[in-house]
Amino acid sequence: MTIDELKRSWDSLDMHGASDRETLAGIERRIRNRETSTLRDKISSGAMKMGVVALLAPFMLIPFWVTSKTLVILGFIFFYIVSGMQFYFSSRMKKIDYCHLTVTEAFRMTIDAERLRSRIRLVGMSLGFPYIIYLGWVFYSIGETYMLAGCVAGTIVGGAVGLLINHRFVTWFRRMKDELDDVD
Amino acid sequence: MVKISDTGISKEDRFLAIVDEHRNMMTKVCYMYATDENHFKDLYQEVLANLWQGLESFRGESKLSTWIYRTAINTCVSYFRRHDRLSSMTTSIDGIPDIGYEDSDRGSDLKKMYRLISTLGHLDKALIMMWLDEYSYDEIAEMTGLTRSNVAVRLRRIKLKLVEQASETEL
Repeated sequence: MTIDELKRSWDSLDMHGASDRETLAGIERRIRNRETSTLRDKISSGAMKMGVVALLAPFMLIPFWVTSKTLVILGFIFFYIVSGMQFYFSSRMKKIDYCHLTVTEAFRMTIDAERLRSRIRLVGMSLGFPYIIYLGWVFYSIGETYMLAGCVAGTIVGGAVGLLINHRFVTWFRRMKDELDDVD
Repeated sequence: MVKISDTGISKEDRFLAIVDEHRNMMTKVCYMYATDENHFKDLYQEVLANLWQGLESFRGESKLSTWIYRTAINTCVSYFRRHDRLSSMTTSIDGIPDIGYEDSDRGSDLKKMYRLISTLGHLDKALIMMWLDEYSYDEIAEMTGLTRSNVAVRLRRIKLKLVEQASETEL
């Protein structure tokens, strides 16, 4: 196939049969009726909800104040860091405006947002796992012996899954970054 | 509540008219970025959702068709599904929406074209589509944010790559 043939094929590409007309009409109706939002908004509001949950979560630790003040204070610090990161991520997502950015800007901002999300995951894991181990240790010391084993096992499984996800992300990210570097 | 714009046309009616007029172009862009039927529908929905959201902020700095085109490309270039991030993004030709031409030669040419273009990266795909849709180098530069000379160099490289790919598959 030559470039001219490619051009001819492109010009003759009539998409009326590309998908069931009713399916497309259904999608158009959902948008008009405001039944769905953009992926960017879904991700941004998801992060916002996570941020709110992380703001409220440490209050569940207050009953343990008598057992270990350190546990509660560290819990507040951990959850508030997570919450701050989620709010920041949410605001970064909101700034991506696909209607007014150039193609390279849109691509770059999306990749940067994905990288930020990955970093948040790594920071969350780095702070969360020692905290969970400490939590298990505190419970172990007051006689809840199975808690420590449970926390360690959870940390190992969670860590392995997290690292696997991160490894795949890094592979994907490198590919996207190469594309971007190529146009710079 | 239906909001009426300065022109006296509701946002819903304006949106409908735009979609009707540009459906072929938008589905073409989505088709070229889709890896299967569901991905195609997701992309189409996402493009429309972005257009709906941005419609009121369109001030006519560029032609409406150019704005829609750029929004469609931006959406598709940046739409990464979980699946895309976690896998090697292989494209299944069999999974792609069937255009359904009765003329089998034409159908086969189109599949070849899809196969060729799908070997390109996200940004290169956008560039070649703009060129195929006869946008000038200046317009492409404006839409992509690249310089005019960068557009020219990249397009020449992309075309060479496509010709090489095509001759390899025909061997």
